[in-house]
Amino acid sequence: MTEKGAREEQARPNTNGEMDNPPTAGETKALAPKPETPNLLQSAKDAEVANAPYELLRVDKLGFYFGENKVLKDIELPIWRNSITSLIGPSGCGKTTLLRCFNRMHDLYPNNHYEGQILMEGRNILDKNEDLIWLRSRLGMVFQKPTPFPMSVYDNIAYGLKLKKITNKPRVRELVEKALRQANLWDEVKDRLKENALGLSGGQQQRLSIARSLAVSPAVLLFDEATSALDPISSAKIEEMMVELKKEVTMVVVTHNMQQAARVSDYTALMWLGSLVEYGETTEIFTRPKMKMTERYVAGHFG
Amino acid sequence: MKPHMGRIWRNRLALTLATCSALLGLALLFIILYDIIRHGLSSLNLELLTEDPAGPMGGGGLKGAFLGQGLLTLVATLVGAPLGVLAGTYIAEYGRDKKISKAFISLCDLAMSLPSIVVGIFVYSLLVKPFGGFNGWAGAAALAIIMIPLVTRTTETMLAMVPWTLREAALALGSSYSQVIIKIVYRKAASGILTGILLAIARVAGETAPLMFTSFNNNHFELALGKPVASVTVTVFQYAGSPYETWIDQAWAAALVVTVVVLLLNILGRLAVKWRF
Amino acid sequence: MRAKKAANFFFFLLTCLGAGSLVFLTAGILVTLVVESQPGMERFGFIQFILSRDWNYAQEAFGALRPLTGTILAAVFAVILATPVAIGVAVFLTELCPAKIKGAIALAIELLAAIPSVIYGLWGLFVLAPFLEKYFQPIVGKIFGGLPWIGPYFQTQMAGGLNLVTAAMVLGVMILPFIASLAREGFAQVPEALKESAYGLGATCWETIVAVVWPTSQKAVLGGIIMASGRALGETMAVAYVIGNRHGALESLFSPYVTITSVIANEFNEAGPIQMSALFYLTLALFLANLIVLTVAKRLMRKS
Repeated sequence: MTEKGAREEQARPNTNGEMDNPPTAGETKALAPKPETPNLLQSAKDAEVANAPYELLRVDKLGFYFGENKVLKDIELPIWRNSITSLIGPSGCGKTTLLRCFNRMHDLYPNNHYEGQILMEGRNILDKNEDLIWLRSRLGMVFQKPTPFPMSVYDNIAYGLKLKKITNKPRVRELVEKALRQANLWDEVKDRLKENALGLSGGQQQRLSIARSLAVSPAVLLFDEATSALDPISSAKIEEMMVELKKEVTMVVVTHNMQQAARVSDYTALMWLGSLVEYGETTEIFTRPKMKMTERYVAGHFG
Repeated sequence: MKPHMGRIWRNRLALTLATCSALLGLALLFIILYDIIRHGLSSLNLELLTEDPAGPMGGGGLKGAFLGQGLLTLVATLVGAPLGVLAGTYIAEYGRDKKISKAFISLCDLAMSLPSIVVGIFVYSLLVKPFGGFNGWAGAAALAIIMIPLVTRTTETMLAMVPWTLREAALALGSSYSQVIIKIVYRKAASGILTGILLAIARVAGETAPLMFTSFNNNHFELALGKPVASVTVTVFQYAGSPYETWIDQAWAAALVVTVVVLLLNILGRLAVKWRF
Repeated sequence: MRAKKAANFFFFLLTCLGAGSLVFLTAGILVTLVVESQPGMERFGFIQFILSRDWNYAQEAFGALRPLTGTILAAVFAVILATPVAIGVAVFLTELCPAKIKGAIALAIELLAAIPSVIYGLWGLFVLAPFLEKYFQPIVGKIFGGLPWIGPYFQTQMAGGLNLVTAAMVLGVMILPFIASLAREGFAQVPEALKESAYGLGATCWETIVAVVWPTSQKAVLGGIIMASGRALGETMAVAYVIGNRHGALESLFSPYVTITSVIANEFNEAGPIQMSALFYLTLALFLANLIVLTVAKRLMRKS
């Protein structure tokens, strides 16, 4: 814990004092179970310590190239644990490209390279020798369009567990249920777990994709415009779920929808032409932005 | 040490096998090409193209067979390509979104999948038996029958790709539908249709089975379509089955020429997609 | 104005003529085959014809059992041989191949499909058959020949390498590019986001193929494989050369045998009236088999 604390200290000066009012404090208390058994009390205490805010990820002078084309320029950005950070900006500003750096999605395609670092608990996850299988199971990703695998609802969720060699049946069942509950999907699908996931509605499929990522208990969930293809009701359900999920995971959200960023996120980063324009607490960004550009963007003058 | 080395190794193994299959596929192409070139070049000479056949003692060429095959393919193209384009036009333009066009597409797929020997036998009953003997017309007809569905299918696909709004715009100017099709839609789809026709020619130019029972073969130089007409592919088949070394050599040389022509036509067809008219 | 209308209608009639030619040729083929095989049908019946082993010129007794068996066996073996390699090629092209050489390799594989079948036959007859007889058959004979029950089926028969296995191999090489390109099309249709979400869970490339790519495309790929088997059923020139065309019992996989197409190719031009009719009857069987295969393949491909 001391090591983490030290990093926290280090992090504070960089972040304009958002730390004074860490967004997770309230949730931490809500999470604490009733103090009846000493055992649970102990774990509640642990949870409080573990949930103390600190930088889970730090983007450090990140540059990214498609071929010769530099599309991300010197990005500096902290991602606070158990918070939601949204990346906003006009189309083509590089927010999705940045998001896909976190789980090294770019490595699937040739002719691109990274510069600088993304530190996760002190470990540079852009390292050439980074274990991508491990990394991607720690940082889950949810895509714009729902991506149910062509198998049953149950198998969709169990898939990641199978990869992690968790095959004990009761345990898998338990984890599948937990993930589906976390994604607010359990009540809707508990009677059709064996049905093909392609039969679910679009919103359900998207929550299924989220549950599938949650099942492997990732530290971070990356949302790539995850609600832009959904109707308002489905996307409201997902927003609601995201806020609840903050207890357990850190989220980075790319969105075109500024109201959404304002509603759900604790921190907001505005990007433009591959650079970070401004980063800060969401309320600050939307009410008292420091940069003129930010003010104009959030007011809807461009983008 | 990574905890999932087993998975990584299984991945490597599977992908290595896939790479090996690709290499095997490529190797097969090169082995076959190499064998054809090796055997073919050793007996390839100008006489093969310019002389009439000699006996099994050696010498001579297959002039008649080359010219005959060219003639049969030409006649087949002159008949088959227009019919195929027209059929494709009917399906894509007049039958658009109608049940009948689906039926025609199924029919077309059936015709396309028919073994070529079945076509040969059909034409034998239709054009050889009633007329008392093998003849060039029958051979050309058999090739045309193979061409029609091929050309129909590509034409239909290419026309369907032309945006509907283009036709509406032209119709709004007062052109008749047939004028729109001929002057605008065809022009837009021309390179695609041409590719289809070239690939269809490449396909029939190497056909053997439909010719064996129709135009048969002819040792004498003969370009009258009323009589049996020699063709390279049938000659290759017959010579290869003969006991004479010289004929077998000539079969290889002729096979080389056929392969080169067919592959060139294929490459030309693929390039034609990019042409602008 | 009237001339314009007439021209318009005339063009419409022309396209009808084109479409009509499709009806004429497919219906014409079916009718012709039925009519021409009439004498054979009357003489041999249906079940009897299918189940009869006869192929006797003197007694004019002809049965389809052996050509049918040969056709089906050769096609099935060819598909078994070609499919794993073809799927491997497709996986390589969609998932592994560097973009720079992808086009060239895909073209090379497609060109393999464009080589005329008579050339494959020639190659099979003079290159593959002697090679297999010299190197492949003795090894297989040594390994499997001594086994009880199935041993005899692997024993070499001296026939210059002209036998069922050689035919199946030539057919396999011929349909390999066909299956590969259909499988590639199927794989390419799998949405990129679906694959990425498997990778996003930490799956390896192979695990992504197994979990996402294959289940999404399997119907299209299976349709393609069945389509390819249809090609193998009807392929003539390559098989006619290398199968040996001997109407005898199939004592071993390495014995010369017959297929429908090899019988037609080798005997049609010298057949007597009854034999001719039997050959038409065989062709009708081939036509129907092809129709069934096509229908199944189309149905699978449409569902995907």
